[in-house]
Amino acid sequence: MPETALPKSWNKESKPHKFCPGCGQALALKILGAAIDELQIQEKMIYATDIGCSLLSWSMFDVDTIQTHHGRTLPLSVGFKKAKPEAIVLSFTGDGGGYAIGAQHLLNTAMRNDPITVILINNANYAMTGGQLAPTTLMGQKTTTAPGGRGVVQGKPFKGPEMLAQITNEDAYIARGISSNYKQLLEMYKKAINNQIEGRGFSFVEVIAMCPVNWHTNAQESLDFSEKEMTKIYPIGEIKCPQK
Amino acid sequence: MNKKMLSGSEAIVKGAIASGAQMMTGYPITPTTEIMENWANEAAKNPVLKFLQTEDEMSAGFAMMGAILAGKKAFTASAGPGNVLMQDAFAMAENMRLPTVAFIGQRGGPSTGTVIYSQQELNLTCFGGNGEGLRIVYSTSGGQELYDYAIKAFNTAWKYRFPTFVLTDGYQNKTQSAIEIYNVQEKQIEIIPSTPYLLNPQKEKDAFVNFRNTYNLEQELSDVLLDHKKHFTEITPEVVEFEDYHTLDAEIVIFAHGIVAAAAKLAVDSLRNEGKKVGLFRPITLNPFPKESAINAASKKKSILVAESSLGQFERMVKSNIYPIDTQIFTLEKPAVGIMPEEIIEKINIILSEKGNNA
Amino acid sequence: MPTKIILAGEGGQGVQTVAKIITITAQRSGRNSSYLPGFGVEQRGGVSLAYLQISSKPITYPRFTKADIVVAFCDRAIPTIKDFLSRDTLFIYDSSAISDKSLEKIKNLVSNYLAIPALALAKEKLSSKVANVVLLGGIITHLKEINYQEFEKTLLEEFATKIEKNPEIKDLNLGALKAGIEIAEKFNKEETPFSGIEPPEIKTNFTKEGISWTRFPEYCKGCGLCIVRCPTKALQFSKDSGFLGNPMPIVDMEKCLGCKTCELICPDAAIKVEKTP
Repeated sequence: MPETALPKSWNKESKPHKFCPGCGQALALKILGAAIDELQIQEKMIYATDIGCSLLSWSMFDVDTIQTHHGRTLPLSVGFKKAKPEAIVLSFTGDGGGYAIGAQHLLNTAMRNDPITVILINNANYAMTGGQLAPTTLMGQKTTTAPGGRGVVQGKPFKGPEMLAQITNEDAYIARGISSNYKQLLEMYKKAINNQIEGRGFSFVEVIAMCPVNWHTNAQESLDFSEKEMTKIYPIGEIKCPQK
Repeated sequence: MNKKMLSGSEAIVKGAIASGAQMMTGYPITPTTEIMENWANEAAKNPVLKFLQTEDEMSAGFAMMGAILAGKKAFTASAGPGNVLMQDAFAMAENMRLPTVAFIGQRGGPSTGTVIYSQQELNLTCFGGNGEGLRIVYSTSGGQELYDYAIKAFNTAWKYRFPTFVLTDGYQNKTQSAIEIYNVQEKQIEIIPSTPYLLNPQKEKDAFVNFRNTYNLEQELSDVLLDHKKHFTEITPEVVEFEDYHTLDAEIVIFAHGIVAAAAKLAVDSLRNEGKKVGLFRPITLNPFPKESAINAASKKKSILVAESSLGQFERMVKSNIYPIDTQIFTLEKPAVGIMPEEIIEKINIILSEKGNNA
Repeated sequence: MPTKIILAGEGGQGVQTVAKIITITAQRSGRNSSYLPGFGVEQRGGVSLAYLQISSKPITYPRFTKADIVVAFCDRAIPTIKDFLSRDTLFIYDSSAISDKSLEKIKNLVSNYLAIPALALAKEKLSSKVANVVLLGGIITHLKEINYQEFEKTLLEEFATKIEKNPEIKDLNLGALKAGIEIAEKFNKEETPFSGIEPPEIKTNFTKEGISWTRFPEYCKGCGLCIVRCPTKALQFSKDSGFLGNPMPIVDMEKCLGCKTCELICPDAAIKVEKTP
């Protein structure tokens, strides 16, 4: 009988983790744990995390970790990488941290081709504060701050990877995965991190994730909304892949 | 003695390098841009020195902290609206006890204000952010001190692990003057080494740091803050600095800090030549404030004159620290403009004559 | 003096719903009431607290140090509520969810108590989701100044949208409320010892030739993703509880292919599927 199903790089003391039942972000972090294990980088990397639900991962890993301020994970990571180029720097943020309050940092980090790996969770809402409108909220989707659903006044859903693909160098790795597809997301993570290890430059993976508590959905409905509705607007796949 | 004609900004960079600074982050803003430009030039010549021009001041503050976590002595410089944005980062440094060093070139405010001179960033630098102001703030008074306190700021930050600031202004940063550039070893200044917070090679295998600034419970955070405050109080006697200029026999003591204190010193000299018993008390550390010495300097005097290029920011600091001394307080408050020695002399003469008339 | 009540349970156990219903009902019955929710930063999974006060006079400060009624929904609530207990406190707890071991820690502090096997009763007769309403029944038995009918009314209003979707929810909640009241009214502490449960032995490992399927109750939050994802429908919810007291899945090994789909979709790393020789 196995002792545990936890990734080796997960901090066992802090488990069960602090995420909600059925959380796609927790699933994305489990797969990230598997990537860290496979690449054997636990001792060589830092994990930097944002505010929003991502802050709940401050004690997720047996990896040197820093939890920063909302939107400021990328600048901190860039500073760390500049100071210690041999370290593998992994930045974890939500769609608020990356596409709203810290959007200028994401944009400039990508533009400078800073050699860090950014993982961004897209769950179509601001989850930690209870389900408000996010840049990633779908048209018509109801949130606590768009009770009538997202309409033209709130603008169109924000496509991060597609935008970053336009402004990054050819050797950047840009992809969008989904946390309910373990094997595909694992490969994307590994390619993104390897892009950094091999010195090619910036790497970015957006992860579509379920948020059953704020979506008010059961298990099947959560899978359906993320896999069928969200992927219509946010197609899954590699957008830039220099290793090909 | 090795004296060189340098601007204040150049002196800051030379002091930072002498103190072992390894990296600077920043976003250009007057009057601190020259610090960045000087550092960028030094970094271009020396690959050990790193430089990062960021997209804004928030990024500069956080990138600085990233470098510090990696074990580098990193610093930044900013001013006015940039200092406002950077409080985001300084609040985190205060929470997590990160040894940040920042050179603040005060300019007129609020808002974009003016670009060269003021003393209006006292509140923001000493007490900015959503915290308790557990920061160390040196207010310099001229070019030589910019070199001296640049060296000291890094040592203070790394020794005590509180965010450390050198509060200057555009007059000081831009003035060219002869500055003694000394070797720290010759002056027997011990340089405190830096150590990484994350990926520390000294750490045990399988021991990992999970470092955070968010707490779940009110009590958890309260305990952390009480502990920080305890340390801050313990180090205060070692950290506080001041300059006492003829206060012992003075009837009137001027309270001034930064470059205004330099003007006040000239005023004191001039007034003393006329036989008027005037002195100057200048806190060098605005935070922690040299409270006991200030009380001694203000006690049993006829009156105090607080002079500042702001509307009472410094006066409030002085008052709260010397309470309950009942020496009469006069003020010379000129927001966002320089204060000339003649203006101080005039004010002192008015006080003396009013005192005389009343007597 | 206001009646001070503190409720504590797992996030997601319905602590805040109970607090809200009591507050609104008290207000409706002409009393003053105040309710301050206390959360950690998590949306779910942290200990969820509610500070409640009911008084004939206006309530100005939302917090207090000692409570007249302390209600514990789960084991993890015990260290949190400990400081609120005084000699006069009525301690209401779920005797089917809280372990003897936890109760032992506060035994000397509790003189007056009401044990309600809320989770067990709800699971057996109604649905585990209404365990909080069973406890609500216990609490309102001790709030004599508020009319029972008013509670019923608020309860139905609170769940109106859900009832509209699924009319069964109405009877489940009303049944839970009545069950809680019934136990509380009959309760006699001379006959019922101050005790909880021995954590049940949960079978975790299931095998057949070539496949070993293991579940970890200490991690399972009962989200059900594994169940809906299983290609052979080999999984279903069981009566066993996981970390939050939610039901956890059980496997039918006859149908299990050992494909690991359940393991890979689990956000809590609570399932492990292995090939065995």
